[in-house]
Amino acid sequence: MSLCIRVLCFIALVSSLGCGGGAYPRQEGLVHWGETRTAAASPPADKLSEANTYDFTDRNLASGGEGGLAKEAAPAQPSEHQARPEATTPLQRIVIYRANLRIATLHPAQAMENALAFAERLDGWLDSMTDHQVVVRVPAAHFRRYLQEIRTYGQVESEQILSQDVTEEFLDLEIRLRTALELRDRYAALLDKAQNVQDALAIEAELARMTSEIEHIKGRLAFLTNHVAFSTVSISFTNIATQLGLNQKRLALPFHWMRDYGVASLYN
Amino acid sequence: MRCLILCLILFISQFIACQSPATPSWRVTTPPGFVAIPSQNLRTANAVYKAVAADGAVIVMRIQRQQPEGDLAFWAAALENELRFQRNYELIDQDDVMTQDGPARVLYFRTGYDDEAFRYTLAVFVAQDTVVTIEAAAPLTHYDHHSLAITDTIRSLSR
Repeated sequence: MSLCIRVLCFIALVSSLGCGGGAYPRQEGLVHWGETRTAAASPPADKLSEANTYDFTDRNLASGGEGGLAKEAAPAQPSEHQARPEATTPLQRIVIYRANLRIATLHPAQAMENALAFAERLDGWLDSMTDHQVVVRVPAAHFRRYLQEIRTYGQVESEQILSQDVTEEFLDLEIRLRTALELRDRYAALLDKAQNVQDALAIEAELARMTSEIEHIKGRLAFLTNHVAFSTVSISFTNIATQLGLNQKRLALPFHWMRDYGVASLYN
Repeated sequence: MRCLILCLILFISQFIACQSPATPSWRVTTPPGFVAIPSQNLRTANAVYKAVAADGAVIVMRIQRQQPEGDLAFWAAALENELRFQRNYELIDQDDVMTQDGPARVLYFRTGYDDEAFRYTLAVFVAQDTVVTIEAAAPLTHYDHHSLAITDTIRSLSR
């Protein structure tokens, strides 16, 4: 009897150990896989989730285990958590300013030189210049001051101030950049663990793609940063004497031979 | 009677000689790309030299006796006044250029003629009893092509 009880207890113990030990790893794998898929619902993490799915599927197929999955899926969580405080914190608007002015003056050429010189004095620079138009870039902090000065150069015929709010694009690019950098680091780590050439080539291709995307995002961010930091002011100068007929008010000198001068007399 | 006619002819020839502003001693070098018009064909008032380019650019030298006498600054300002404020020419730049015979003031204008934008350059040189001017004009689109030749022509002014 006692032998029978002992045998039954042994069977029960062995069966309970066998069930528990076999179920746990599979549950763990499912939980992490589910987390990774959930992360894909967040827009900035799109590429991350896609890349994870591709990468980890290959890795799981190759290694036959889920240890790497649990380890790699974890960083997807902080990116979601980081996004939340940004969304709730009041944002400082990021705005690009441009101004277009047309100014009538007695001395357009001199006014253009003055406009350029003043921009340079404010640490701005010349963007482009034609016969009657100058385009300068001035620090955004001095934008209003520069316009105030320019308005004194003559009669302002038209003035247009344009603003472009790039806050959303800027933040989006920052998030994309951060995500891409994290993903690139993860690919680099995976490359070290690659067990065959095919995996290594696939990872390297993704690394190249991510690097290209990172450079593209950085370029766009640099462009926006530059245009936010330096406002663009385009000024067209016209001759006020021509427009206001001031020439008629000047006294003609009593040298009649001068009446023969000018383009018309050269071509007649 | 013959004596009277002879005297009249002599008087008229002297009168014409006195009135003629042209002093043939002033010269400029015809730049490459231009051809000089024979002097007998010059129709521009007081012109002693005219050269044209195939694309319509033109250079003219005129000589005017000073009445009254003025210095270079006076005549340059007077001509600027005439062109800017009597004719609406737009002064876009001015410069001093050294000719073979001394300094000249060069005024650079922009204007419209025959529904087209033109560049017009006027160089003023003052000698003791004459005002020598060199004018150059060309359509705006062609002027840059000739600007060096025009400057060289002004620099070449000599007696």
